[in-house]
Amino acid sequence: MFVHLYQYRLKTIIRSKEEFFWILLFPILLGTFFYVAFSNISKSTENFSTIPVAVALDDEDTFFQSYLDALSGDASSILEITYTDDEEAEQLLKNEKVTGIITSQNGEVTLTISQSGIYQSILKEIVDGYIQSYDVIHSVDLSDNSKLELVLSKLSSNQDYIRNLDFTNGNTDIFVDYYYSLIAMACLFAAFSGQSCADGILANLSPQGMRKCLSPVHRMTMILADITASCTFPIIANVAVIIYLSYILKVNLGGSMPLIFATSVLGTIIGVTVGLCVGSIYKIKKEAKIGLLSALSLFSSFLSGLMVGGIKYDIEKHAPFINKLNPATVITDALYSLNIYDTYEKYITCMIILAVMSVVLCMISYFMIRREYYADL
Amino acid sequence: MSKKSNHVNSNSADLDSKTSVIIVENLVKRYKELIALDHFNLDIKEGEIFGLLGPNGSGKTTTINCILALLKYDKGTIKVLGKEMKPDSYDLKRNIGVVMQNVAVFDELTVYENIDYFCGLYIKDKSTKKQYVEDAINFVDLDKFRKFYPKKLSGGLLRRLNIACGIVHKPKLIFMDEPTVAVDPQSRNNILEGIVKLNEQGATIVYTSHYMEEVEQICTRISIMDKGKNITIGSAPELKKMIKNTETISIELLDIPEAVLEKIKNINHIYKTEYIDNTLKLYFSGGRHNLINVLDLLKKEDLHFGQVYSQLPTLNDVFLELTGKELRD
Ligand SMILES: Nc1ncnc2c1ncn2[C@@H]1O[C@H](COP(=O)(O)OP(=O)(O)OP(=O)(O)O)[C@@H](O)[C@H]1O
Ligand SMILES: [Mg+2]
Repeated sequence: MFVHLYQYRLKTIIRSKEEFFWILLFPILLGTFFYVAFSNISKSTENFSTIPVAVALDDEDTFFQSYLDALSGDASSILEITYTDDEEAEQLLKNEKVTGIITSQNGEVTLTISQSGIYQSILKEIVDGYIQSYDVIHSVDLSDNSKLELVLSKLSSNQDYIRNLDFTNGNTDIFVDYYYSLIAMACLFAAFSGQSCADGILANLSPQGMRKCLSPVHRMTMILADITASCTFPIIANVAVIIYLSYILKVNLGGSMPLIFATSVLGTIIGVTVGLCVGSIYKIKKEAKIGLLSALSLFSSFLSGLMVGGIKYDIEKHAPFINKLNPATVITDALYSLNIYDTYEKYITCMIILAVMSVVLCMISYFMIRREYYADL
Repeated sequence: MSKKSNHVNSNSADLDSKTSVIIVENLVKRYKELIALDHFNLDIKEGEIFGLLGPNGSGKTTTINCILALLKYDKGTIKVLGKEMKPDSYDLKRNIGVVMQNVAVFDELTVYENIDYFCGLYIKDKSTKKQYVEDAINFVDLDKFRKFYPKKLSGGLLRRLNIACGIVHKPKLIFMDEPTVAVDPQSRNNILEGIVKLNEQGATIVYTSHYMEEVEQICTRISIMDKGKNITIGSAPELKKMIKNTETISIELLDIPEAVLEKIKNINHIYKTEYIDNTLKLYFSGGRHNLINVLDLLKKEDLHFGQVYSQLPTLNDVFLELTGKELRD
């Protein structure tokens, strides 16, 4: 029975023009468009060397200075530091002589950047790392010797972490962010498949759903088969989109392919379940649901940087929780961290967030779909 | 057509001896404030083609959806094939076929695939399934269209596909909710003949419609519904006997003097006259030679008249007399 239901549901999705277009063709078209657009404006992609940065410090902040010294100067230097005052620093940033300005006043360290991109985010990583350690130091009673040791070990591991960032294998092309957002968008467009799945399962949404409800097939079997099929097509389609991007357009997505696929699979499941949830709302018309879902997916991808690159860094500054809750941003963060970090800590965090999101959404959609009696038809 | 008279003649007298397939008692269903079913009762016996006749919004679809355990209802009991019907009564559902008021097929699947899909929900065995699908295709005469997608089918063919999907698993009990809505007369007759054929093959059928001719043509018994209530139940001839009217004579007349009208009113068995739009309508209750009596009188008065015709009572007259309004709006 499962196979019978699964096969036919899959057939229905693949033959549905709208779903086929939005889930498979549209991301491929947009990817091609990006490719053409970026190759026209792409500067020669230099490999990572050091990040030029202007630093304006209080005289007193020797602790921060030594932190910076550790990151520049020696063989594995990350930063190329120009010590200067605020005004000149701004001039340097304006003329793109430096990537960012780090200032420290009365123990408060700030980073100023004028663009977004991979160098900028590394700078941010460095400054954040410092601020965190600094806070730890100040919140701990330093007279307690054992605690002091703990703090010191934390601080040094933090530095190792930054030093261990792998800058050579990753794709430092700033345009790669757009492709990440594109992949996120493709994942979320799987919502269309979820919507049509809900439509075909619920008796109050379609006469087909009603007929299915009247059959002697166990409700659970029906739901599982239809949802599995509704995930299958977009998962395959999104893997195809990624293959198209990286092997045909030869976009270097950076990071291991299986992990990129894994991210896209989780993202797609989120897309499908969002579609199921919205799709099973009784009060909204079908056309309105499709409109709502495309708006949601596009807005989510927009916030992750699909149209305006780097928007997520601005959001991080003002409302960081949005970045943690927005599936498209978490997907792009996961892909991004695969690209630039050698360690998987950040990637795993992103994947856990995605997994939690999909479990929650799965549960919500299950409760919305499993009902058997209707008050209205 | 011989089949038709067969059905209509079967009497409700010996019904008590037959087993009940559906029993509905005191069913109440509300949509918010609106009372869609108001203490509705039904007792449908095995082998019947049972008609639910009522104007739009009288509660026919609601009744069927409650019986099928799709809709929650507020009060009452429903038994189907001797058992209480619940959403997970899978063993009951196996024996039930439903043809919905709205066409319920998948646009992305062909005629054959649609029928095969729905058959597969009921029949596991592959070769049986194949045979059943072929039977259904032949039954609705869609053999030439098996590779067509629903969008390419005309309205009548689409309705036939809808029927095939509902009956492909050869159910014992079939619900048909206005299966002929928006269908041309030719297809409609095909469909009606098909329904009678299904009944002859042993299925009990619950048929709803607001077309009285259809219901009269095929149903063994009819429940007339209005505003969620059962107004009366019986075979078509029985229902017609319930009312006063036995014949209505209509005469086209350009003008009629008051004196003549008074004389006409005195003809035997007339109980009501109406003169609207140059047509004189005379309502009779009983009497055998009403038309001749009327024509004799008109000749004697030397009145020139156009068309004259006589009508026997229809279910519409039954409905009109019982509710005070027309069945059709
Ligand atoms: N989902 C709903 N919400 C509110 N009212 C409803 C709903 N469905 C039906 N009704 C109302 O309940 C009454 C009975 O409707 P129902 O569809 O059962 O009538 P019907 O006899 O099948 O009519 P039709 O010939 O148009 O199919 C109508 O007044 C209708 O407006
Ligand atoms: Mg109806």
